[in-house]
Amino acid sequence: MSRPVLMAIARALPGLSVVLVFLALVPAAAAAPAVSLRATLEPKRLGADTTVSLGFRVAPGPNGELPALSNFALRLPPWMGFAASTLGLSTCSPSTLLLLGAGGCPHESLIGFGSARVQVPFASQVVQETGRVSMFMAKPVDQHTTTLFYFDGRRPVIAPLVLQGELVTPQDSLDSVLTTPIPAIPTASDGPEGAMVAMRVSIGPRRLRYFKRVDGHTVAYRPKGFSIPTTCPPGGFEFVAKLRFRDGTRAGARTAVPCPPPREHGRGRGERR
Amino acid sequence: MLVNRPIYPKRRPALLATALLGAVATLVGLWPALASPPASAGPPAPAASAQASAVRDLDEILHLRIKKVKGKRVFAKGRATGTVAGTGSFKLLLSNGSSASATFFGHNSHGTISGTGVATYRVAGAISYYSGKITSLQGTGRYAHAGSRGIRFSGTVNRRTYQVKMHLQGKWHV
Repeated sequence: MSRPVLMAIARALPGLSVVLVFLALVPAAAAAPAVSLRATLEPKRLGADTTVSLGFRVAPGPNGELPALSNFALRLPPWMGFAASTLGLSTCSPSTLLLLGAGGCPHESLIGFGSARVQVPFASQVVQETGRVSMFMAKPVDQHTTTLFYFDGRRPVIAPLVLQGELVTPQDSLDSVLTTPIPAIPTASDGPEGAMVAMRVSIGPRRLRYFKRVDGHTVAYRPKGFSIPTTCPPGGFEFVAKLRFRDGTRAGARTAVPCPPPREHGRGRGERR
Repeated sequence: MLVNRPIYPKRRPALLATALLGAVATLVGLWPALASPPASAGPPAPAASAQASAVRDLDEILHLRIKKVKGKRVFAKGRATGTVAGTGSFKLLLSNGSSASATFFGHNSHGTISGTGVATYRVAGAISYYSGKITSLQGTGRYAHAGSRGIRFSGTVNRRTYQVKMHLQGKWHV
């Protein structure tokens, strides 16, 4: 090898070693896990007040990796606003939830419930915990309508989890997005944090009852839910989920609730069983 | 019989150029007057005075009650007090989870006034808060020449009692 070539290699060695060290430290770019989204309306009838059930599920990536979820953003159809409903007539706060649990919140702040599954690496195996999720109306944050998800973790998730979702309308957009950051999930294993791998929640009056005083008596009633528009857009009512993970990867999913069949349009108020 | 004729006659360019030159000359002549106000603080011309006095403050409070909620439409009716006292109605069309378009209508023995605007809203328990601006304003009778000169509105809707209170404030051209 000629002398100039050897000199050039010698000069490049420090830089080369830095690059090699950097490559050794930075893990290979992780593939994003697969995400599925599910949405249903009950009843599914144009013009009707409805309960919206939403659920997402995270499946491990091609190499089996399942990073911790750090944020989920759910784009809702334009008609899903609380203003024309009577859902969440009171508010609850994160501190109340953490101190007293779901029972500490005013009954009328409850707007929906469901369940969530958290996965925790525990020694050489993976432990899953499925717990109940309650959804509450909260006071606005930064002038945005805000909701709270309360996950009552027991074991291996050692603490209740409160997620705060804000309903925002991005610039130059007609849609509103429920953006919910997910804090680190503490676990009993004292190891890596837990990863939320699935959640489903029903928002609406289907299983909700509020109470009011009428002539000195307490009367239970169903709050008014979201109203499905009287016309259905082509392709149905679309929901889009965008998930971000702690390792920087992102994944998304979309689903659409198909338009009700035409023969259901003309039906009376009665719900088809 | 239809005959294809050129839309512009051949002499039109010359006419246009003459008109353009005239307009430029007029504008140059007027420019000092347009660019700076007169140095003397004399009384304004009668026409200018009438125009200035036509822009007035609007301070209106609507006390309404929701009469109908259908889909994403909220319709409220009640009374208006303030600059234009009378009967009023307010309609909200919710665009999505945080924005809406608003229409209001008011009338009294002097005429009618109506406007449209855009608003953002947030829900805090039973109360939802709205704020926005009126983008167009028109009227009849005494308010036939009504126009918005920057009217903003803010208010609340009580989803439990169906009471609505909206406050309109700003300048308007009467």
